[in-house]
Amino acid sequence: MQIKEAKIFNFGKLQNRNFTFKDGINVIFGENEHGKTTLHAFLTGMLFGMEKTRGRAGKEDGYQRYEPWHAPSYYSGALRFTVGGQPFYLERNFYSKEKSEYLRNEADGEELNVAYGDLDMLLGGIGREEFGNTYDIPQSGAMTGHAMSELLANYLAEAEAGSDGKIHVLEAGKNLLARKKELLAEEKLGQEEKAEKIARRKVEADIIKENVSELRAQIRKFEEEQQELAKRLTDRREKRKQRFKTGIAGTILMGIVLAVCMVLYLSNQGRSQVLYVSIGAGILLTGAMFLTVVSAGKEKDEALSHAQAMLGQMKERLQESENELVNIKEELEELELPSASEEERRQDIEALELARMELERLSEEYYLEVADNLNAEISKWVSLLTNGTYDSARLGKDGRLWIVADNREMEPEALSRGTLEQIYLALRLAVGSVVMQEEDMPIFLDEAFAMYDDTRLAETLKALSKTGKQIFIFTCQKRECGLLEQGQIPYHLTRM
Amino acid sequence: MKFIHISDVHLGVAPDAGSDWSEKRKHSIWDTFAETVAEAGRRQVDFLLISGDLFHRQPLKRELKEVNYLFGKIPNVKVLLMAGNHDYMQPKSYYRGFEWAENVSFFEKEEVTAFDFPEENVTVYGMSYWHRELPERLYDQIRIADHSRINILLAHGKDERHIPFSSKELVGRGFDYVAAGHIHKGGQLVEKKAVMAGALEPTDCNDTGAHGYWMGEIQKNGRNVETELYFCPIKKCEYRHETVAVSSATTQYELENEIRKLVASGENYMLYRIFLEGYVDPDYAYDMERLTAIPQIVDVTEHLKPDYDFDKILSEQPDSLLGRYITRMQKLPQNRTSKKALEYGVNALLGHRICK
Repeated sequence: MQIKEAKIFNFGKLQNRNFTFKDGINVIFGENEHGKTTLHAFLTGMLFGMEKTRGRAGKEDGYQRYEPWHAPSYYSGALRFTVGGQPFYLERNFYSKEKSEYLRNEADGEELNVAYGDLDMLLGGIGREEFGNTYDIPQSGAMTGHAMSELLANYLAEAEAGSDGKIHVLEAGKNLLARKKELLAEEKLGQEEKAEKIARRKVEADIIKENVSELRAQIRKFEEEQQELAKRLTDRREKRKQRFKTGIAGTILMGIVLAVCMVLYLSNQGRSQVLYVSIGAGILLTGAMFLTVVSAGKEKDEALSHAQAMLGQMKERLQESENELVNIKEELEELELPSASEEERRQDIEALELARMELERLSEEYYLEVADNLNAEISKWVSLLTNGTYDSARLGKDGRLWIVADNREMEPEALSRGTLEQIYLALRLAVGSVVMQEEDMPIFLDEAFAMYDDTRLAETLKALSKTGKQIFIFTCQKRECGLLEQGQIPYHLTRM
Repeated sequence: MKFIHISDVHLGVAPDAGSDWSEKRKHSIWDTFAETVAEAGRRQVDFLLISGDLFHRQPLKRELKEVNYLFGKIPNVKVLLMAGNHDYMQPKSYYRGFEWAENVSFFEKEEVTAFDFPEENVTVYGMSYWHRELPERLYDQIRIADHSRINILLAHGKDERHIPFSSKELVGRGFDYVAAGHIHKGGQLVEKKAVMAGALEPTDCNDTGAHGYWMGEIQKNGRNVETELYFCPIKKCEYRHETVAVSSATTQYELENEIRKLVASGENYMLYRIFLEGYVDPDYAYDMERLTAIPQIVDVTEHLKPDYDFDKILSEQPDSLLGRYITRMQKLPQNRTSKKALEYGVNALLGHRICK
């Protein structure tokens, strides 16, 4: 991108001013309070817009700082620039209540839409933040290692500027992990619930098992008792048979005796009545005894069949319990198999882990690749700016910068303030050139050389001029112009 | 000779555990069985063929008594019964030595035997499962004793762990009707000659399609066999799997309407599993609870993919991290996990909802 012309309608202290710029080095010279910084703010404001921050925080923002003093609602300007050889005209109304942008391709007259990202596209996806961290170099150009590593992490993550700039690898990794943890927790909960269900069924099974063994013992005991009873019964039966026989024999004997007595009675009537009565009683007694024995046998028979019925019932209960046990066992087996949704979740967990690991590996590879490029670029700039005093620099994984001199790595803080500024300028230019591969943006240097001695400044200006980039040097000193002239470096001067 | 052929009744099962209708369906399965037995009596068929898995698990004695009572009420119908792999005859099974009504013939052995019915000129071959699995091809060894009889095989299985068999081969060997069970989706294996009865009523939300019993009549004169066969659907419960196409433009209400319309176009005894298919905005989440709450919906499954065009991303930015990630994941062996990982990773990279 080359900025050709800035038309300030009303911005801060500047009204109706036109500035034209050239390719290569532009020096904007002016004493303090003459509007150098305002012009600088106008240029970045045109490129990246200016948002009004609400409330107290707004006191510090650019919007309020450059709000026109006398007519806050008239707050606008325009910019002419080229991108890829095409000329564009951009007009902005910064006034927060009537904020508007107008963008036109001046070659074919096509009107473009800033709200739909047409300007972003022209800028190669570079936003205020990226620009602020690289080519927009303030008075003290040194950047903390922290800011740089953050920028790099973002840069690494945000892929090459071509994408829609929404890629955040670190965050993606974190989110994948978080989702995995959620699913793992769900899985654990599900397993616990299932385990509880299984445990409950197992307890039921145990109770039934206990019942089964108890029933078995009872049945065994019962069967033994029954056997004994049966044995006793057969003994009794034997005796009974014996008695029966005796009874029959007795009855027959009695009958015979009775018959004899009858005969005697008939042949010898009137004798000894007592004898007959006692004989009769004897017969009755024998009969009664016989009946008693028989009926006792019947009672025992009943007891036996009752016991057998009991045994049958017990066996029935045993079989029922055993069948229930088989069913519970099957149910438990089915319960232990994972359900379709459980399998799905397991798969999700594995997929999340796979995605996270691949992403991690990928970003590491990507990081190394980019870091290599970056290191080469930084080294080039460090060498160029220090005229070869320091010829190699390396970025650590944490984003910290290491300088190599005499085969020794050292932290830049160990260097002099001037050198440090140069090193960080090199770093900014290097990162900028890597980040802005799509569209080369101009470099803004706002009083960035205060800490440089003349030799260094001359070297730096020479190096900058060789880049072929459009460069804006805002300064209140005549030193830069002098050195540029000394070095026979062409430049375009704008006096404020 | 007229017959009714049923199978896989799974008495005792409570389908869709956890749903409002699970218990209702459990009772409905018993009722349907009782009604079918009564129907066999009403239609005055000669045989009721039950091809296994009458019970979902080991039958309890009172359950056998219930079933036997129902059989006893149709004394003119000869009931042929076997134990399948679900109600297999474990050593203590109540099937063993159960005293069935006179009209019931139960295949007790785990080898093929036959019941002969000279009056109807019918011989029924069959056996029971004594094990949960029987991978031997036991039906291949049957020798038909008398080819002038109407020879029927009461079979259960067909998959590789449950007596595999080829119905064509069995028919070729001389069976006039193979009354098969085990697979819940019914159909004619060999036209009018071999039938997988299917579950009498669906026992699971994946038993889709119509269910019911088969009724037929076989006449045999010498070698000349004539068979008539009908399927009689039982319209009490039918599961349907329906796919609903969804796009980024589909709203929640639209989707609800779509599903309600679908349900309204069917019968009120139908229960639906809904599968949402299509490519949608990865951040748009449908309220699944609301969808599932629609009457007659068993569940709703999202088979939705984010509407990324991976090829387009790749051609536009092959070297970006996103492009590299896609390339890398596509190079991995493609299976369900790696496909999901591609999707979830891209979701995460683009800052979308990662997964459901």
